[in-house]
Order: sequence, then C-alpha cells, then structure tokens
Amino acid sequence: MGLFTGFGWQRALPTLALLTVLAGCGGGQLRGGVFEPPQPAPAVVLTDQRGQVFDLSAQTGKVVLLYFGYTYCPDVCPTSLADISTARRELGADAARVQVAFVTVDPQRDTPQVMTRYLGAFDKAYLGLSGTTLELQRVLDAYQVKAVRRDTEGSASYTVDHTAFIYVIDPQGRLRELLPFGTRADDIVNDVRLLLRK
Amino acid sequence: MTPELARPARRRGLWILAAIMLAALGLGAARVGAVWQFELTHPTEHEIIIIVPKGTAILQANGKDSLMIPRTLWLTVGDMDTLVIRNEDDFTLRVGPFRLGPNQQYRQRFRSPGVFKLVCSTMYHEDETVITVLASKDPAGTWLSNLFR
Repeated sequence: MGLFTGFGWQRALPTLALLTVLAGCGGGQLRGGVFEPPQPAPAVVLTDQRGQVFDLSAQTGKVVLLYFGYTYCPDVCPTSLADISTARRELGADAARVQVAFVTVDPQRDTPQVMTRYLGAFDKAYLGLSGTTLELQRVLDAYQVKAVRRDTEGSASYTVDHTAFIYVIDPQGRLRELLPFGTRADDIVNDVRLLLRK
Repeated sequence: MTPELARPARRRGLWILAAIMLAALGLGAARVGAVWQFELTHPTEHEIIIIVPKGTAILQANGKDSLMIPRTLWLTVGDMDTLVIRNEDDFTLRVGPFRLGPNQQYRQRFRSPGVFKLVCSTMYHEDETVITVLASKDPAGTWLSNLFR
C-alpha cells in the first residue's frame, strides 16, 4: 500500500493543491518605475481614430498601456510600439485584456487617417487618440508629458521631442508604473501578467 | 466498468495528481532557495532614497530652495540598486515625468545602463538631476541577476 496507507491522503490533496498554487506564486515584481501606493490614473477623455470617444475610466478590467508619441517620430515611437507588439504576441489570449492607447503629441499631422495607417502596421487593435489643443494639453499636463516642437532648419518639417515612457494602468484604473524607453518585451509581458493576475 | 475495476484506475489517477503537485512544490521550493542563495551572495544591493520632507512645498512657494537633490546620481545595474523617491510632504510633488501624491513613493530599478534625466519641481530653479546607470563591474553578478529575473 505504501507511504500513504492509513494517512487519509485524499483529504491531504486540497492542502497539497493549495501549497502547489502558493509555490507557483510569489517572486513576481513589477519591473518598471513603480508607484507605491498606486493612485487613480489621471483622466483621459479623447477621440480615437475611428471618431469614437475614448474614456480611460471605461477601460476597467483591462491593463491600459498609454503611450505619448507621433507618427512622424523617426525612432523612439516605432521602437516602443514594436516592443509592445512583441509583448502582445507573447501574451497570447491575455492580449485581449490589454488596450494600447497612443496619444498624439502632433495633432497637426496625426489625422485619423494617418494614425489608422500608422498604428495598423503595428496592431489593428491599437487606438490612436487625439483631440482639441485644450483637451490634449490637459492630458499631457496630467501625465507630466513634455512635448517640444523642433523645427528643421531650411525646411517646413519638424520633429517633436517628447516623454517616452509607457504609462501602465491596471485593471482597477490605477497608474501602477512607468516603463522607460527600451524596456524589453519580456519585461512588459511579465508586468502585464502580474497586473492581470491581481 | 465494475466498481472493482474502477477503484485501481481512480487510485492511479490520484497518485499521478499527487506526484504532479509534489513536483510543482519541489520546483517552487528550488526557486525560492535559489533566489535566497542569490540574495545571500549579493549583499551589495541597496536603495538610494530621496525624501522630500514635509513643508518643502511651502518653503518653495516662499522662494526658498530647501531640498538638496544631488545633481548626479550613480547607480549600478549589476548591484541592482534601487532608486526611491518618497514624498513626505502634504502636497503633490512633480518629478520629471510623473507626479507623486502626499505619502506616495516611486521606486525604480534600472535593468540596463544609460543616462536618465529628471527635472524636479522641488528645486526652485527646476534644475536637472542626471541619473547615470553603469553596467556592472562584475559580469558574473550581471549574469546571475539576469538568471533570476
């Protein structure tokens, strides 16, 4: 009969099951710049590229990755969006509970058509947000985002220097952390999974 | 299937389930042990804590630069330094790209070397603090820290 004879080991199974779950837990930490304790994320009410209102407070139940950039950005924005895309692929089914929202810091050039084309190249589920000057400035101020236009000498073109963090908002609508530019996809996956689990 | 034939099959299934659970427990214990061992052999991990004390905002409003934040902060990736900025004031603090509410703190470990700049509202002249993150001087330490992430 062996080790478990007379032990009533069937009754021990629930305990074993609990210990198994606990063994798999723990050791998970967010890998970005974390706010402790977390506070409600500042409001974001803007218009997406389809003309629909995006209200951050209506995104509860999802992790929102908020990113401020512009479609003419030569390097930082496409790199960050590509990293997020890689992370979403690795998340698999969990990606359905992640909303990526790209807030433009260049509303003059980032029309709905331009943002549809640009963001669609990364992931058709990405939302491109814009609004009036006042609406955008309100959101930029709330998130402490700097966006400074730099005209190109001898040309009508310009670039926009901007804050390049990914703002991570948890399913409860709280701003949990900032992920700096260059954060690896597996770190994004780790943090999103942790927040979805909580 | 008669009950006499079902009983050994059920028992076998329960054995397998218990074996899986014990294996998972063992793996979990091994991981905890490895992390514990890593922490024991890397006692250099430490925090750099910047505290904004109570009353800073009022002093600042009166034109007094009360808070001394180093112009340059040096951290090392391999030693897993953690930067902590803690707001103990009664007012919201603006630091670089974020706001800290009263009694809120911001904690960040740097996982790759680089230079980061913070502009802080607590300094009257809103000067920059440069955070320089150095790659580890100890390649083994960096390798171990990557292994246990």
